[in-house]
Amino acid sequence: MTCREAAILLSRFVDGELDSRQMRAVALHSACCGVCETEVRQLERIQQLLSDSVNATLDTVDFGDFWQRVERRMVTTRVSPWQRVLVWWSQVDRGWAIRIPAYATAAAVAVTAAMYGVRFLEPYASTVPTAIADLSTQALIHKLEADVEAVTVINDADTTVLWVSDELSGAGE
Amino acid sequence: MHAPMMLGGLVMLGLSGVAWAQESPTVTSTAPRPKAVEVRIGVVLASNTSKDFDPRLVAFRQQFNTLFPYSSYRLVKEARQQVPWGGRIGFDIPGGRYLMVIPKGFRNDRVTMKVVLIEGTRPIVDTALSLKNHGTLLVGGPRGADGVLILSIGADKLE
Repeated sequence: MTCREAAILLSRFVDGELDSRQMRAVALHSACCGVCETEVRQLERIQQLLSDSVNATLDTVDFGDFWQRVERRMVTTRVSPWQRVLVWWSQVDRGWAIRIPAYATAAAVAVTAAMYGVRFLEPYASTVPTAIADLSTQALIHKLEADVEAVTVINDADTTVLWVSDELSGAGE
Repeated sequence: MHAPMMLGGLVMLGLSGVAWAQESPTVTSTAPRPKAVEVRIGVVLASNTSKDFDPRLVAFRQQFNTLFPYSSYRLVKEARQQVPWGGRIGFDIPGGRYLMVIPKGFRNDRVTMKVVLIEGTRPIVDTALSLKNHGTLLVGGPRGADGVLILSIGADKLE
């Protein structure tokens, strides 16, 4: 990678937004190029200053009475019971006498199907190992991309494991 | 104050701070970025060639015996490094592999980070995750000499 190619990517590199191939290429280039390394450090410095500046300002803003002030601006309108009845009557759909039996039948069919579905699915659900794919235990995986045959996520009580399955991995050793 | 005006004010204040910092040579020459998190990386070689268990891995004994079908575990490489949020840690792994960890931030007692494992020019795993503070993520499967490698990646937020 040349300095010209790296310069285009440095900003996204500092933000961690490059894909892994580009990230490695920029990292390797900047490791042996003083100019680009200096540029990276300056970008990191700017990023940090911006973050510190915004955070420091946020710390000084008092949000304590924010919701009280919002509530004060909210207007409450009183509606009498008789007006509510009139509104309801004006909006009611006169076709209910026909539709209700149809809805009731559809609902009964859906409930019956759901009950049968649950009974049929239960044996299969119980065969799924509970240690796999439960991502809430320790590490929460937000994104996972892999260039291998498979990556299995395993959660123990205390530890999350990403297990890489790949015939090509380490083939050159 | 209206929310857009407040947000605009904050952004302007932030940008003016950046501009001031860039113009001021004393700021750029002092005050290194504060270290925010300590990242722990270990490389373990797991195999069935013996029944030796490296005493330095005693904290992992139960997890290893529960999770993996190997009889021997040996710590072959270890590193700890303190970095600021957004900083990077590059780590050479045996077998021509390279591990990159980028801690991004801290929220709800979790360290958000990007973890990239590269073999040669091929990215084996590229993941973004949030790890419980003081927790450990294991990445296993890459082949090592007579066994497989298990990488332990931990993060401790600095107070």
